[in-house]
Amino acid sequence: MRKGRVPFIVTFLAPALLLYAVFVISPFAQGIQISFTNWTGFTPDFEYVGLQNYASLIRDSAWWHAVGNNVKLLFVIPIGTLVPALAFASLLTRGGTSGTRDGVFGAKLYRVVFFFPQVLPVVIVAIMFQFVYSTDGGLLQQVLRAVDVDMLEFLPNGPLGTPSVILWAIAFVAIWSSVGFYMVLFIAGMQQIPRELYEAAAIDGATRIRMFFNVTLPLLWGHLQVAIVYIGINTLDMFALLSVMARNGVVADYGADVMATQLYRTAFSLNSQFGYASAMATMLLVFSILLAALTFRVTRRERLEY
Amino acid sequence: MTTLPTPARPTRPSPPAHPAAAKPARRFAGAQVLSEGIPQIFVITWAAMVLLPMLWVLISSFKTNSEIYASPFALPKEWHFHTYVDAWQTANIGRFFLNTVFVVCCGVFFTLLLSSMAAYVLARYEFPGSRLIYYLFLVGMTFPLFLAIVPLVKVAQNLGMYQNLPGLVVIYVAFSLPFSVFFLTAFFQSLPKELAEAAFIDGAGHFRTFFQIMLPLAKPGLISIGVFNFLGQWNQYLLPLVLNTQIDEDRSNFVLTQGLADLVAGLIIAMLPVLAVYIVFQRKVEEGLTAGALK
Repeated sequence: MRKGRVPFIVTFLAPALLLYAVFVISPFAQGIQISFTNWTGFTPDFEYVGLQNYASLIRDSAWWHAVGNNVKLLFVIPIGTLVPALAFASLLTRGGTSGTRDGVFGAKLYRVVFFFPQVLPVVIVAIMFQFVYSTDGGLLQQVLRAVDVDMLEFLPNGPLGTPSVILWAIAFVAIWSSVGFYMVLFIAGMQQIPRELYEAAAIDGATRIRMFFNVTLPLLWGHLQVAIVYIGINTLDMFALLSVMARNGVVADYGADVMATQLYRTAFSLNSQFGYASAMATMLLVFSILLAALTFRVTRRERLEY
Repeated sequence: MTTLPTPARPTRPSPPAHPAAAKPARRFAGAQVLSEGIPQIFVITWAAMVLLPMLWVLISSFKTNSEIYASPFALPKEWHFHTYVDAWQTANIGRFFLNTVFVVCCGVFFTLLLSSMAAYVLARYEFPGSRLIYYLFLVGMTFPLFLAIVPLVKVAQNLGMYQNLPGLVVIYVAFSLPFSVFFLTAFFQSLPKELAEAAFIDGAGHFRTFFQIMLPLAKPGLISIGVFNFLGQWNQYLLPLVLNTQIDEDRSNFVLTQGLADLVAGLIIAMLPVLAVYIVFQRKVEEGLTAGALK
């Protein structure tokens, strides 16, 4: 094209590429490298120990406990989030019928309100729900009191103080904050479905429920797949919610440890073990990749052209 | 994780209002009440569940503690604004707020500048290795932040970017680059080629063409990605927690997500800017965030 092309390309790419290489790519690579060492993070020297960190990891019952909690959450959160999100998306657009049927009254307002929790900082959501779950006049306790139920009778320490309940109480918060987001994602998908299909179905006398299962759902499959992978990877993390609400990022495991919080504690608490923590992080990466691959495998269908 | 044929486009016209003709006219009045009423019950319930905790926290922030306990759902008898003054001054939340504004403003500005420059070159200039660089940015979107966090502390310490705000800005920008470059590359590719060519014929250089022709054209994409990064950087938790640890008793280097503790007024102060941005840029926020999932 014109002269000065090469200097232009270099000046425009170099700053972004430099920052990216130094602060993103190199730490990722080092993370995997450190996982093969016994580095504590404070001493200047360390030695390579091969797969020893991984070997201790698979014998570490605390880690398996954390993995188990991740797995429990992986069953509950995606279903608890995506089913209501799909239901609300179709109610607000009436089965995604692109205008052949109207959404419920006030659909636009509901859409804005449902999305609110998604824009709040996760830490704020976590602290807010600490107040909600509080045993000292928390919202949940007050609401139950209004219908004459004493929360302290069956949960003397509150939802966050009871080991068998804490994980589910936090899972609810995760669901609360993301239903609106996935609803908006599904509405966007539904709007891409051509209206003619619904008009044809309406002429054939299809009910709204049949339209949803026979028209909307098959054509929304791609969006649904993406949503499952995305929510799955987010559920593998959950660090901010858990470290604030269960206070186990820094102190100890109060029955709700997941891989991320245990990793953080292993790396940054008093008895710091960077090598071991990096092995955990590498496993987290492996699980993320497996999760994505598995989801696409299980939900694979022929792509419908429309 | 590319699955969909097209990423969400910045502007999509909403489907035109459809004439009532398609609605079946043979329904009973009663059936209509039911078909409107039952869905309303579900959506109203969820709306209440979303709003109730937020309103409760808001109202509580103006009450005394005993009032919160005695009459949880009533408006306060006296509005106590001093909780906000206390939070802002005594608990130092004013300082955290200004720190956050500084970090996020610089962070979003430099993210937009660097990512639009890189994206433009990747979208419009063919050169050996351009695909490789593009895929290198893609990889960064899929890796969990936790894998990088441990070595990142050492990198930041070695480069003097540990425990200070400019360091935090640089690292926010670095981690915002992958998605922003990816999104803006697609955006620049969608702009017509002829405009840049016309500018070249009129004698504009590469730099002038970018800043005076292409950048203004890319405004819708820049707004989407700017809003996306504003929310992401404002809400960032793990990076400041690990990299911006306390330096003095006043915690004068903290950002909002680090220093809120148990202050109700502080929660509201941290919530308002993001809710305001969402309400003003509603479409842009939804597009930016959902495009993040559809990457």
